Amino acid sequence: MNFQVTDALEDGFFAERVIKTIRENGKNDESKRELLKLVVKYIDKIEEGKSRKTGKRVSDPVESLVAYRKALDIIAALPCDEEVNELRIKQVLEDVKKEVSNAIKQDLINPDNLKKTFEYFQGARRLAIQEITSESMQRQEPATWQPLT
Amino acid sequence: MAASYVILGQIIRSSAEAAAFQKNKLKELSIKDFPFSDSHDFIKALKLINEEIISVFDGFRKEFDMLQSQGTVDNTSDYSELQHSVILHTTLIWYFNMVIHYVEQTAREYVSQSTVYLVSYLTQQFASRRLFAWDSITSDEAKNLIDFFKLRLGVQLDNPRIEKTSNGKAIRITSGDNTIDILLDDVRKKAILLINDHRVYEFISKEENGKSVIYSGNVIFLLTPTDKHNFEYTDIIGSTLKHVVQVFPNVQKILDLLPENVAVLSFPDIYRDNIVANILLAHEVGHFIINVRNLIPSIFDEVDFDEQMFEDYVNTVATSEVEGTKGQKKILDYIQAEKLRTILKTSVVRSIRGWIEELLCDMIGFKLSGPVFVFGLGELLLSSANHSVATNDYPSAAHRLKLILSEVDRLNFAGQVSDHDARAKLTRLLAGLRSYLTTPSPTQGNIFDKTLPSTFKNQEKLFEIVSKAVESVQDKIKSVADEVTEGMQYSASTFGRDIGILLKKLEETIPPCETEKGKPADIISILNAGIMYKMTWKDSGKFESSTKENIQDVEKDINALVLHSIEASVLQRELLNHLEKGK
Repeated sequence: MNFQVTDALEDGFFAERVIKTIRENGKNDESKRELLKLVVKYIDKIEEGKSRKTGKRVSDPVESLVAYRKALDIIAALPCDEEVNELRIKQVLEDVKKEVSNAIKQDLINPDNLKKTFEYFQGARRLAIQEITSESMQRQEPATWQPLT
Repeated sequence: MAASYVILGQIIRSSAEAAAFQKNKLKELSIKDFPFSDSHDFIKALKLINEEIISVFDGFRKEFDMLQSQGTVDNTSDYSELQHSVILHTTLIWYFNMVIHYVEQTAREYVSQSTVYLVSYLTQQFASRRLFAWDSITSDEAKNLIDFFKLRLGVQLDNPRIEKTSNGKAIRITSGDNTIDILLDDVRKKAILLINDHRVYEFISKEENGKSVIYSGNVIFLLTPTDKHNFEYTDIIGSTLKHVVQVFPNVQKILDLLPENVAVLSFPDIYRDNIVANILLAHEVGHFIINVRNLIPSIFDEVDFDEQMFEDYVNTVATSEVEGTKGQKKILDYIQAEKLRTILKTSVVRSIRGWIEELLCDMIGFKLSGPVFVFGLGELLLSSANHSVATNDYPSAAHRLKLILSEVDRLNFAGQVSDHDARAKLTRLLAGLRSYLTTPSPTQGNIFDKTLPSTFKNQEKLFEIVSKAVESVQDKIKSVADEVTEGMQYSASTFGRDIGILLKKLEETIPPCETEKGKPADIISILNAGIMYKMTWKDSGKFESSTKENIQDVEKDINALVLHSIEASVLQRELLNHLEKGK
């Protein structure tokens, strides 16, 4: 069984859900509120991965590191004239979090106020699809260790 | 555009294939193919989820047809959106069919009855949830039962009336138009659930202090031999179905009807009828327990991670000259350096977590089965690899075996054996294993993680970081294993009492299924005696021929004798229970 694909599918469907919800526009309902909270948690997880601390933490250390590594790929591919450095990464994550926190406060999803979030999750979906269709993900068993002698 | 048609064409084929698969293959599956009950729920749920996915896909197809008929396929952003959705759903359909195929194959493999008994025994405490005591249902227990109907069977019971028949063998619950009967079957240790006269479920009935207590099974175990030289545990629901839930809200309702876990325990086909295979399933049961109880985070929190050592290593790599396409260059680009650093940390943290899990599974396996586990694990690990070589996924064989040996000594297994000969044999076997593990193995270069970029040189340093971190929680690993196996541990005193008697029976080629006339032996004691006999029978001097074929024949017979003894012991115990009940 190849379970590698499940993580990419999970990321892809999550991004898809965010994109569709933003496009729908309008007043929040229970499921949209829940989704917005999940987006904040998702950004928190990336920030934890960025700090790279071990020990007591909110989320799984491997998951947060993987989320941060993916965020680096997503941010590097976003259309932008600026140099991608620590400041830019911090800025993108803060912008998304700020937009989503406002949508939670106002209990309203307005695509005009969630442009950075929309752009970020389009990138996340692209990355997931790239992973799903990449050579390494094609129906192969993960590499195993073999004795050298 | 053309490429998109190809994508859509694949989906239509996948959709058709999925429907055909569901129709033709699933109906061939019958409940009797599964070693454990409740699997019919799982197959039913897979079928429903499959239908749900296909119906959503059909929605995409209609949307695509509409865009095409409007002639707006090429220039709408909707099309690009649709294309992304289509790829995700195609992959999901392909993936889901793979899961169904996997379960189908797993369910069809032959597994010896003794293996089924053993796994059933090892998991009994972890695979079911207490619902109520048959004789006196408390208000909390009644609430548990009502919740069970709602969550697992989708039956809402408002203001239920609970009654019991005068002979005490049936409970009736009525609510509105629903009538639910639970019929106690003392002999088969089950309680049959009927909703409006239709049989829908079987509870497990266990005797506790002379009274029947009703449990619901919350796990399906599927046992399967594979062609790989490895034992594996796979959590079908957690690993494969969790991502389906967030896209298809209806799937959650279907999953609620299922047991909480569907666990596949697989082992090498070549060990199908081998004592080793049977006992190493205790390690895989460990993975299952760790998963359902989420045991790793509490251990991981106490890891002493040497941040300085890690940072020093990363800085050395990041500032050293590495080979690039245009000659030597340094990693200076921020994103590149940050990515390398994160990949490296992920790899190290994943290894620490992986090593902790493997050591904890070993420790759980040992607690559940005693010394047989260390010999079984030794046979598997030492026959296939250099004992001092660790990988990013596994600690070295020497590391794993030494940790268990330290527990064998601490719990004084050898000292508790009353029979002199048996004690001498155990002491000799343990000493032989210890001596082998301290013998230096041929030098062999470690590669920490071959998926890491080639820029990460000197990976030995990474082993040092992981080893140090794991060592800091080894006592915690032992205490967690103790906690989770409480009430299920195979004790040194049981081992000491039984092992001499059963070993003697084997030496006389008598099946070791009883410790005395009419008293069935503990199945774990049978396995311990079996592996000790298998490792020492050649020393008896009774067998003069030593050709490879003859030795293999004898070992095959020992395995069969031991495994049939397990079956005989379980059946004898059940027969005695029936006779006792009939008095």
